[in-house]
Amino acid sequence: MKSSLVMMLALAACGSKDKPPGNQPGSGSATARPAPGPTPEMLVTGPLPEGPEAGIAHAKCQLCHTEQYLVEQRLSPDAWKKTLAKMKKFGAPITDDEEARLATWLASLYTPELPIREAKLVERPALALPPSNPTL
Amino acid sequence: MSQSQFSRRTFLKGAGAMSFAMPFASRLLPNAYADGGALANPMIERTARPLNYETPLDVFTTRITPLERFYIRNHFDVPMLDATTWRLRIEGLVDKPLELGLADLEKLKHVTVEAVLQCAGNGRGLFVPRVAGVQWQRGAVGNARWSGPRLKDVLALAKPKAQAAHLELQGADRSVIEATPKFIRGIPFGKGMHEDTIVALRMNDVALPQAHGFPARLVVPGWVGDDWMKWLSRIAVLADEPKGFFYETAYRFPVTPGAPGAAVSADQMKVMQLLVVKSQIATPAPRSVVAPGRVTVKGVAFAGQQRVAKVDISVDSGTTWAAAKLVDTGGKYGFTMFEHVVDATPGKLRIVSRATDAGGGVQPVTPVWNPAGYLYNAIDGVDVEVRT
Repeated sequence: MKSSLVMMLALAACGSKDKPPGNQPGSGSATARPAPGPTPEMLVTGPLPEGPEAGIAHAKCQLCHTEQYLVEQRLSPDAWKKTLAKMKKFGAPITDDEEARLATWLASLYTPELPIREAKLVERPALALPPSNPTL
Repeated sequence: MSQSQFSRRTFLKGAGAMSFAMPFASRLLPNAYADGGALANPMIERTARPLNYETPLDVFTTRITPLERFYIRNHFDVPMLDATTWRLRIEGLVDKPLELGLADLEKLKHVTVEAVLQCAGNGRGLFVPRVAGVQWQRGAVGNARWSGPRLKDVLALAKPKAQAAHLELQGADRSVIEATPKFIRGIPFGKGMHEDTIVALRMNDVALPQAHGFPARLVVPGWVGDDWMKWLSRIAVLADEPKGFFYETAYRFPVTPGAPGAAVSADQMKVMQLLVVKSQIATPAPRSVVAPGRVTVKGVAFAGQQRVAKVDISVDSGTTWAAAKLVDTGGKYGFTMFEHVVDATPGKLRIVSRATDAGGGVQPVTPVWNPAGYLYNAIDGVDVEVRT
């Protein structure tokens, strides 16, 4: 996960030759612009983009489910708000501030306009077959 | 599996006025199943935790879906139950509350029922506007042989009282967070007493896999998957309907479905029960390349607790239809297999299927949008490229 994130950020930084590679805080350059955000392709295929809200998601949302649940949604800001409220009601240990930040952040990334996530094929999970000693 | 990268968007421009192509489908990236070739049992991973895996379409060329490829849907982590200590408690409006072990269930007469299990949300990812939840597309469905005692024989041991009207069902799965509602569902007592409703101990003739409810799950043929309680651990006989989020709020469908995207008030939602008629083309594969000439289209259809009366195929956006041959059937609850040969000429080809059930129910052109994205059954198909 870490290495793919690093690679994604590197790719993002290399996305445009006329931009400085990344956003160096305090670099003081008059031409410095914020690092380009994640491209739609990165959002569709990748993990959550890096950021403080991703930290909240990893710490709190992943108590119950992988971030795959988040990145495959394509919701309006209102629907994201409702989803976060539902999760909080279900016991997600997020503060009101974290709830609002996550809703805003996710709504800015996983919009109805973003292409849908590609089907990812994996080998079936081990639990798809009966236990080896089922005592039946 | 051969792949092509032609643009669906370009292709769909040529579709007729009666288009079955969903707008978002044109935004699919190419090579849907590109990386599955090296896998022994490829599944589409929705979420690795909890386990939510979808069956790839090419699996639906057989009437019985193999365990290795059967879709898996969970709300929470799989409880790893010990068959020697597992108990099923029956309580509520019964003269004799009791706990049964696996040996008790093994002693009862067993029956086998072939039935389609489909997640209520199969096709959720195809609805426009989009709705929240696991974004299942087409593979949250499968057909298996389920074996075990009839639920009515199990209930009889506890002697239900005359006021029995509902059954509250609970499995052993739990959220890691205490505040999360427990997955509790309910079915009418009458459905529980139906001779085809069983407490399944086996799936396709072997012990239930853990992901499918080991050691026991309910099988409610013809009804949506959320009633097929896995890791069955408690049945309460009630006079009234069960309480709780997963019965009173979730798994409900609008009494009168309205415009896509429109909110529906809680009092206008009803409990979902029956599956609806649906068909699914298994081969040719979506976005595959086929040679010009005779192309055999194969797939499955099902209709809840009714027989599939016919499946029609169209290659001209629904202007004309031809009846497919129903080559095999798993009975009124199982998959009905269909086949049809189309004459493919070079170019883009969209093949769609439309099933009709014995009661006259037919797959709609337009999806029946609902707020939680349940029971998608609009006419659907595959896009292929025909070339040598």
